[in-house]
Amino acid sequence: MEIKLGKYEFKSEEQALEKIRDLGVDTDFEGNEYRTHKHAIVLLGHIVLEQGEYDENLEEIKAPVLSEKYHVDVVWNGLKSHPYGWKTYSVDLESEGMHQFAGVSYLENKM
Amino acid sequence: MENPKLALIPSGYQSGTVYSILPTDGVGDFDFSRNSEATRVNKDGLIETVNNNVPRLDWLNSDCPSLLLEPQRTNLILFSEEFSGSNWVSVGTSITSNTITSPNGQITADKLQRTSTSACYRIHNIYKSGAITYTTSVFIKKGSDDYFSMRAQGSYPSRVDIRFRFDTEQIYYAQSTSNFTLINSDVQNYSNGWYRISFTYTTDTHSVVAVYFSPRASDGNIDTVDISSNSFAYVWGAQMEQEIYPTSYIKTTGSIVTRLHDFIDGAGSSSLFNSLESTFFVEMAALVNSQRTSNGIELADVSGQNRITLQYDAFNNQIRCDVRVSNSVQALITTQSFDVTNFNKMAITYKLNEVKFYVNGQLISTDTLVNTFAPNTLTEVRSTIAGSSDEFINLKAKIKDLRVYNRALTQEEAIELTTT
Repeated sequence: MEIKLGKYEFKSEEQALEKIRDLGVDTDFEGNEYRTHKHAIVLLGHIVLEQGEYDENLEEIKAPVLSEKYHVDVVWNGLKSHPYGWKTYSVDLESEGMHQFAGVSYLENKM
Repeated sequence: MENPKLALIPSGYQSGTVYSILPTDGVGDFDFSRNSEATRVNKDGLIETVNNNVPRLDWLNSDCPSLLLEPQRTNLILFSEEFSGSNWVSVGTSITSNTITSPNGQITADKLQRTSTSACYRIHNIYKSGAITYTTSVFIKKGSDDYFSMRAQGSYPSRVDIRFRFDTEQIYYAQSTSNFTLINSDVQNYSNGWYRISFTYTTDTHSVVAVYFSPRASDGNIDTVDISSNSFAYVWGAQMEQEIYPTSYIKTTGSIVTRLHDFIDGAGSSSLFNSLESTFFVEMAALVNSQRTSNGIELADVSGQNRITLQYDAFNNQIRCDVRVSNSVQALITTQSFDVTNFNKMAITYKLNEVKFYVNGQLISTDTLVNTFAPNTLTEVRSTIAGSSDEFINLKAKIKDLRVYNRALTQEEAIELTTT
């Protein structure tokens, strides 16, 4: 099955989780939720834009600069375009970015 | 005993396929998928990268391979093989890059050397939010001396300290302090003097966790005085995963990297299997004693509403035999009497009015099967529960042998089949 890669910046973790949930979940007879889609999702969260500084006890001297956005990378399985509601939050990088899927180039496979 | 209708002893494969020994017409072959590269230990004992959708026959510490089925994981260390990389911080240590042969057979292992008797270590920071469970691992080989110490630390004194001794091949000290909790630690011998040391812990809520590595000539934590000012060891393949056990090595070269999960399905057909009575046998080992979510392998129909499942559960060492007709539970038998991370031989026999579950030559229990499947109901074997594609309930295990017989074996036969 053909795969495509997407990188997304959501306003918050809650919004990201809601979008992921919209991709499909079901509940088994024991009440456990499971996904019904075949896509692979990595929650990167508020990624570090600038490293922090710490003393020897790991107490913060200078705080790291974190992205205000909540970042998510996805391997889309069998899709040729972003699912409904995702395109608005997609980003188009000119590099592989700070996260990669092993052996799968984002630049060669991006949505 | 007659031959099984379906037999998988992992040996032959190509991209997208794991070949079964029986039947010989290809109907019993498994479709295999994994949308990323991954690593395995090959027959020569070396770590090797395999391409997307190539099944992994893993030979780690074994004379015969097993089919490795792992979950999705991300290595959070930015330079897993370059300990002089920009995100590694040195306190009193030096790195000599690419000094000796590493576990992948290439000269990519670094020499990590202390430069004084006072606290000396190499550090890597990971940013996080809240208390999180991580597994940290690294490959190490003896250099000048006998000791190697590691630490994961949040806001001091919250930390976990690990001490390994090469001569005894053991972690002889593992201690958590303050708001860290040590869950477990482990040593895997990769031969040629290489060991993969791993430890799993839950952090404090500090915004950063740091991992420390320190070669030593005497017993002690990473920040205590050593008797040597130039003790060294070889290091390679650092990995940090946000989960409760280590998985196969994931190489990084400046960014974090995710390996995707393995999945097999599509072995068999309605005409190959006898849905009215059968025996489903698997010899496999779970990757961890206590699963975060239930996962298993099943002989089932496409929908998963009709299925015979061998399942690992969230309860420690629990194995479940689960038989359902139209998603209605017909038989449910569990046992916690075996270490699920060992290779266990498990069999379910079923026919009208009877289900029996065997593990390692023992009949665990007999249950009543009120309703059996309609003819031609069961169509395939696959590494999931209820036909779901959710990677969380895909099987996380190593499979050595899998068979389907088209009759319920007698108790004597089933005991013989599952005796180790």
